[in-house]
This record gives sequence, structure tokens and C-alpha cells, in this order.
Amino acid sequence: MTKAPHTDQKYIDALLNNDASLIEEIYGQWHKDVLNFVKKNNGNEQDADDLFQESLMAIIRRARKEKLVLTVPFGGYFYFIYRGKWLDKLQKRGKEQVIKKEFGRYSEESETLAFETIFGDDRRKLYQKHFEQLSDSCRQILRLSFEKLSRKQIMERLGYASENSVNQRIHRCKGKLFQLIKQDPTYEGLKASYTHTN
Amino acid sequence: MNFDYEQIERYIEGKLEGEALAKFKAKLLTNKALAEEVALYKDVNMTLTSAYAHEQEDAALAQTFNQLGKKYFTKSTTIIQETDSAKIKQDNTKVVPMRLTPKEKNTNQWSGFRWLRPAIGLAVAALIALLIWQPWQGSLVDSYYQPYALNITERSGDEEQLSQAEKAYKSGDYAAALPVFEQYPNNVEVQLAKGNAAYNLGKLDAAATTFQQIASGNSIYTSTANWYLALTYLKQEKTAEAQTILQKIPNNSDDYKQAQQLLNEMSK
Repeated sequence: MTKAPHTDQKYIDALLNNDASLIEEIYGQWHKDVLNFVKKNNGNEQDADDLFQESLMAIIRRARKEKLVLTVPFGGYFYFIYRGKWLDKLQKRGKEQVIKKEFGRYSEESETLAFETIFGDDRRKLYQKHFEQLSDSCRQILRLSFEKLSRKQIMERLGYASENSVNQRIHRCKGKLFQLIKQDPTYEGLKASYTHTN
Repeated sequence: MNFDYEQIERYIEGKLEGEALAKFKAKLLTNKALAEEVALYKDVNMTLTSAYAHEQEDAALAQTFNQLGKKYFTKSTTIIQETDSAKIKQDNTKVVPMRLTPKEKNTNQWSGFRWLRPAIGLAVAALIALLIWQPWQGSLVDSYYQPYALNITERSGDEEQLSQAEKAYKSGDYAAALPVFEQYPNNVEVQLAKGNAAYNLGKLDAAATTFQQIASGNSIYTSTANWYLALTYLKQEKTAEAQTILQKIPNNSDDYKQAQQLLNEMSK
């Protein structure tokens, strides 16, 4: 069963298209909420600014990866995203985190969608972190493959002897990347979350 | 454990067929580690492909967010931060004491030099007249004017050329920057810089036209464009037009405070 998108879908589209005037509407409408929330919970104005931006970026990345149909109001979805991200940040800073959940204000559906978005973004961070740890030559060849260049193009660009050797190199580098990712202590927790998006 | 990534990739891309596919599927059901590896492979590919395909867009988005963040989050802490607008505000404060100097001198010196009073009075009157008359326009504008701090993060195509022009602009070589900026009519930030370059080269009509175009659009730079448009008018001694434009700058804009200050100065 598919639900029709909420009228706030326009905000998702605005974010994907970098539509400044609609994005400004998002700031205008929700900056006070975010600011009050952060200030009440051990943060300052700069934190609120960063959190706002990071949360929007998480939404954008989610929407790019797979079509994001917003069936709930943007406000609730956004709330659970910045709330979740702020909890993580406080935890990393070793600060006390007593954030009261605003029961009943937003639907559970908003929360589910927000969690899926946050986990997706956390996985991206994990993947990119380990990608950066690969050797220069692995990063170079994998980037070209992620950018969807054909094996032949990669062979010519990087001067490999054959498409087959490009293939072997790519698979060896990927194997290395997956190994690093799987050794990361956060991987086990995040692993369960991609059943949502797959 | 070592996996056959060649095979995993073929499976994900739908290139496994017939018996090979059936075999692989059977293995997926029984081999948990393989199933996990396949899921990871898919997710990493999808995630990183998407991340690296949008780097330029991300830079453009960051620009939008930074502008809006400045506007909506850093207002109440104006003095602490080192943003460009804060620098401008600091510079503005210099204007006020300069204009007060004659009056300050009056109060301090009159008591001791009573007999000089008429002469000082005349001199002060002359000084005030001078301030109001000729250098007024020029110096007031100049004390408010700060070239737009261009910072191109979005790079595409002729990036070398644009980045050279950006450098030239920042070093004050406006004549070198201007012709390059003219080739980027769709980049609003570059257009703002173009207007500034024209302004500094004394091409005030061209500057005004550029700022008008930006101000009539719907980017986040409309208020900034209006601010520079007002300064351009002031430079052209079109005081009434400058006032009208300054009054248009809304109170939620970064430029509101300096616009009000300038309006104030102008009406003195």
C-alpha cells in the first residue's frame, strides 16, 4: 500500500534542487525549535547551526540514494533526525543526555523514517571513514568505479594492462574496504539497519 | 573469509544466469556470512556511488546552508564571531567617532579658551559645513563599503580560470577579474563579485545594473545585492534612490543593521 506524499514533499524536492528560497523557509520555520532544543540540552548556537545543516544533509543523502516519499509532515521527520543526531553527539562528548521525548507530538511513522535516515547516514560515515584509510591506489581505482566508469575507461585512465587486471584490483581493494568496515566496532550495530533500505 | 567478489558483483548486477544463479542463491540461503557480504557490498556501492557523484552539489548546498545559518543562528552573538559582516560592523563604528570629533573638541576646549570661542565656532561651523557638503557622500560610502568576500566553493568546468579570477579579485586586481566574472552569469555569488569589481573600477552604472539583477531574483543574496546597490547609488550621489533601496532591506537580513545605521547617518 502506498500513501500519497505529504504536501511537505516540496521541502524534500527543494533540498534536492538547492532551491534557496524554499530552503530558507525551512530555516525560517524550524530554526527556533532546533535552537531551543539544543540550548536546553547542553549546546549552543553554533551547535544548533551545525546540527541543522547536518540533519538537512542526512535527508538529502537519503533522498538521493533512493526515492524519498514523505508521507508525514516535515517537522516531525526533521525533529527525530536532529534529536537522534544530537543524542549521538552528546554521547560522543561524554555529556549527560536527558532528552525528554515529546510523546504524542509526532507520529511513530515519522520516527521510523527518521531512524532509517540517520542509520543510512551513519553507515555512509563508517564507509567513508574506512575508504579514506585505503592506499592511494585503491582509493583512486575505487573512486573511478564508484563514479561508474567502465572497466575499459579505468584501464585507459590508469594505464592498466587489461580489463581483467582492473577487475582484480578493484575486487581486492573492495575486499580490503569491507574487511576494515567489518572490523569497526560500530559495524555490528549498524548492520541490522540496512535491511530497511535494501 | 575470502569471498568471490567477481561472482558477488555479477549476482548484484543481474549477470548471473541459469545454473550459476541457482547455485549462488542456494549458497546465500545457507551461508550467512556470504549473505551478509552481499548486503554490505550492495549498500557500500550504493552509498559511496551516491556520495561521490554529488560532491559538487554538496559544495553548492553547503554554501546555501552557511549563508542561512549565518542569518538564522548567529544573530544574537554578533560581536563574538569573526564573520565578514561582523568585520563590517566593526568598521562602521569608526564612522561615528569621526563625525563626533568636532563636537567633542568643542566641549573640551571651550572652557579654557573662552576668548577663542567665536573663532572656534566659525571653524567648527566651517568643518561641519565641509563634512556635510563635499566629502560627505564619498567618505560615508567608503567607510561603509567592504568588497564582497567572494569564496567560490562550487567548482566546475573552467575552474582554473575562475579560481585565478577569484585570486585577482581578492588582491584588488578588479580589472583582471571582471572579464572572467562576466562569463558566469548564472553564478549569483560570482555576479555579486562582478558588481563589486565594476564598482571599484568606477563603472557605477554597470555595477548598479548587476546589483539590480541580483536583487530582483530570488536567491539568498537579494538583500546583499540591495545593500551594494544602495552604496552604488550613494556613490553616484543619488541619495533618494539609495534611501529607498536601504529601506527595502528586511530586518531579518544580515545587512539590516548596517542599512539602518547608514540611513541614520544620511539623515543627520
